Parts: sequence; structure tokens; C-alpha cells
Amino acid sequence: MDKNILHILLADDDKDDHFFFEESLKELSIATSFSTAGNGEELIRLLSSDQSKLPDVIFLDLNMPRKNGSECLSEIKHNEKLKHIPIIIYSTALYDGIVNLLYENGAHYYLKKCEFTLLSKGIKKVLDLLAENPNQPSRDKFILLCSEMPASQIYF
Amino acid sequence: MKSQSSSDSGEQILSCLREVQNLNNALEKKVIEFTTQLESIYKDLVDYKFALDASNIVSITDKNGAIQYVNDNFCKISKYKRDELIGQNHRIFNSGYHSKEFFSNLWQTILNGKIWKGEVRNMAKDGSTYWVDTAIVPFISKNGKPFKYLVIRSDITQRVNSLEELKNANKELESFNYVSSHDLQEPLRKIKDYTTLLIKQEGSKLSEKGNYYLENISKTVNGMQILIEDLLAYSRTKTSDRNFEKSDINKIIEDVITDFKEIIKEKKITIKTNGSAKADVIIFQFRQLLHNLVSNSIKFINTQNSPKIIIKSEMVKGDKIKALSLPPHKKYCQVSISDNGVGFDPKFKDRIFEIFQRLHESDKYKGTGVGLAICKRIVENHNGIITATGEPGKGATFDIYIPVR
Repeated sequence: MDKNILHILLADDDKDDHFFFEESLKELSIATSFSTAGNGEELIRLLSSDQSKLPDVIFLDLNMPRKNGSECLSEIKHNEKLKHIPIIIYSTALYDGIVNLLYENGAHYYLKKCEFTLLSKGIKKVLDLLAENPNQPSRDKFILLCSEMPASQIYF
Repeated sequence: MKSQSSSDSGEQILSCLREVQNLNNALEKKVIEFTTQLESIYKDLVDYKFALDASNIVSITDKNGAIQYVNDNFCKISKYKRDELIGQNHRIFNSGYHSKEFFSNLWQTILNGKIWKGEVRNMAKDGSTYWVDTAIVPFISKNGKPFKYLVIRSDITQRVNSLEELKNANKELESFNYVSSHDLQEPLRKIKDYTTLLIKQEGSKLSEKGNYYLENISKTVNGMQILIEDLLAYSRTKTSDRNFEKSDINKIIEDVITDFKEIIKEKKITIKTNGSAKADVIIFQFRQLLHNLVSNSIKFINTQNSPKIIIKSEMVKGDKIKALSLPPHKKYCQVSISDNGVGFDPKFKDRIFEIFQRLHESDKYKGTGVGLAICKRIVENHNGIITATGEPGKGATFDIYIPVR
């Protein structure tokens, strides 16, 4: 793996979100390479096929057909060869119950999907935090928003 | 010599006979009087019993709950014949719905000679169930313990089922609302994002008019996103769980102000709070209520003066609140939010709480016309009252009265 380029993998069934994500990456000053998986099964297949080309970070959508994000998270974190990869949940739902479960299963951060104008800020926030601390943060720092508004202000 | 004794004794016998006859007559009169009274009382009792039997489900049990008597309605609803019931224990109607505690509580109440009232689900002969509003009346013997119980029930199955249906419908509505607002936001976000990219990446290839059109598409989508959020919030004020908790109103006010601290700084708004009331509120709803009101005060500041918002909370009695005709001795927690903003024409003081009613054109002030409607619903959930007073150019005051539980 080229140490200077950050390899980012996005698993999401929405083709439009692939596109927006890639466009947002272009706005970052960090050099990145981008690949995608359209569903959970494809994600696992990609990760198992080429061990030399593992991503440095995975952005994982929750609602995917065939195998959803939760299941993928468990599988990856139980795989000796894959569990070191930080996983960022990238989704729209924010129910307390599911968020706790994802944290307990080892996801690093939960980035709430947002509009394009804020997305590159959100991605940069995640990458900076990972560079600062490669380990799973404390639970109160788990949820991230692309915008500046603190996560505690969301009323469900 | 005359035989005076014989005529005397004859007189005596006659007068005795006359007395006896008088006594007899008086006795007969009394008997007729009492009999008439008894007949009238008896008729009343028969009438009462008839009315009770016709309109209720009645049974009498011995001190252990074994059935001694059932009326026709009892047989009808339980689907048993009368002779199948006499001597049976009430346990045969147990439908498995209520806990052991429910029944031990019931027995404890009636064994102490008190009337027990409650809603019970029973099982009929064919296994079907029915709900009855039940009153069990114990009759106490000389030793102070109950020797028989009279049970009066009425069929409330339909009412209970309707309530269940309503609860389920509400739950479905809430999840439908959440899902649909969620699913509607996704494509909206994409329209906005593609529009943003168009402007950013292709804007230079378009004319000024073209860019202007795109900007308007963006703005319209923004408005729709906010509208969907507001509508979801509006519907959730009615369907979500109502959990009342005793809360420090001041703390909720402080939290809400913190949400706005950036814009307060930016627009140089002075916010004063005072008071230390505590009230039983549904915390997340009350927060939303105050959030909407403070948001309005910030939105409608008068750019001609230095903006000020005052939030007060105190306990008041009903009679102190003029022009609202509230019960005078009832206690209320009053929260007032007043500002020196653009105010409003007092003739609209009720209309502003109606959904989708706005007093300004959309380009003058942003808004969906849902914020105050949400406030009104939240206050109603608390059995309270909200009023608005204002004057154009002078400012507005919103008063909330929440009854103390």
C-alpha cells in the first residue's frame, strides 16, 4: 500500500451517494484513492479477495440489500485479517438503540449523511480524528455531524 | 234485691268485647298499613332488581367465590347455562390476562370488607374473551367477615377493543410519519446536491438567468426540507409517549438558550432569564416549545433597536391570570417570553397559532407556519394555555400556563 495515498472504501447501495462522496473527496487536500461496494456481500467479497489492497478506512452504509451494514460490521470485526480497519458508519438514521449497538460492535465513528456542501468537511473531520487517535473513541464522541452543530441538539 | 252483679258483669263483658274489637280493628288497621308499606317497599325492590338485572351482569357468590346466583345477562355473556354455573368457582372465567398480583390485590380488598372496582378480562365457555367493568360488594356478617359477595358487571369489550385499535393506529401513524419524512428527505437532499454541483461545476457555462433559476431551485428544496421536518415534529407532538417529569424550568430554558448561542452573539441579542419554577412537563416537548418561541423572538428582531429577550418563570394562582377565567385556586407554572422585536397586529393573536398561518411573505421572513402550531399542541398536551400579546413595532410576549399536577 502506498503510504502517501489514503485508500477509502465506501459501501453504499445508492449510486448517487457514491458520486457525491467521490466529488467531496476531490475537495480535500489529502491524497486519496476511492473504491465502492454496492451491497454487503460485494463488500465482504472485495475485502476477502485481495489482501494486499485492503482499504485504510471503510465508510459503511447501514441499509444495504443482501447484507446490511450491521452484519458487515460484525463480520469484519470478527475477522483477524480485517478487524484492524477503522469503520465509519455512514447513514441517515440516528436511533439511540442502533447507535449503541454499532459502537459496541466496534465501529469507530458514526457520520450522519448530510448535504454535499458540508460533506467534505465531515469526511475531513473523520480523517483528522482517525489520524489523531487510531483507536475507537469514547462513546460520547462517537456520533459526528458534517456541520458545526453539536450532536446533542438533535431532538428525535 | 236486684242482681246487680249479673248486669255489671254483663256490662263488663260487653265493654271488654268492645275493647277487644277496637284493639282488633286498630291491629287490623296497623297490619293493613304495614302490609301496604311492605308491598310498596317490595315493589320498589322488585323494580330495582329488575332494572339491575336488565342492565347489568349480576352474580352472587359465597365467601369463597363459589357462585350461588347468576342473572340472565351473566349466562348470556359467559355462554354458560345457569345450572353449569351454580356451585362453580369464579376461577373458571380466568382468561390468563391478569397477573397473580391483580387477583391477590382484589381478594385482599374484599376480604377487608371494601368494595373492589376494576376492569377484568374474562373467558367465556367457548374460550373467547370479554372485558367487564366490575364492582364486587362484600356483605359482612356479625363476626366482621364477609359471608357473601354481590358482583355487578357491565360489558366494556367494545370500548377496550376500540382503545387497543386506536393505540395501534397511533403507533403505525408515528412510524409511517417517521419513515415517510425520512424517505422524502433523501431524494430532496439529492436534488439539492445535484443543483449545488450544477452551480459549482457548470455555473460558468450558464447565463446569469440560468444561475438565478438554479439558486431558486436550491432555495425551494431547502424550504421543502424544513417543511417536512416541521410537519414530522407537528405530528409527533400528538403521537409520541407522554412522560411527565418534575423539572426545573430554568434549566430547560438555559439549555434552549445554549442552542442559540452563536446567533445570539452574532446579532448582539441580550437575553435575561429569571424565576425558579418547577413543573411536571414532558421534557423533550417542553424544550421544543421553548425552542420554537425563542427562535421566533430571534427571527423577528427589530433591526432599529438593540434586541432584548426576557424569559420569566413563576408559580401563579388561577385568579391572578386575568381574562382567562381559570379556576381561581388552581396553581399554574407561568413561563413568559417577551421581546422588543417587530411584534404583530393584536387582531392576529389567535390566528398565529393555526397551522400554515403566516403573517409575512416568504421572502421577508423564513418560516413554514408550523412552529406556533406545534407550540399550541405541546401546551395542550400539558393541559395548559398559551397566549400571545403584541403590538406592531413594539414587540411580542408569549405566556404559557401549565397546571401543576
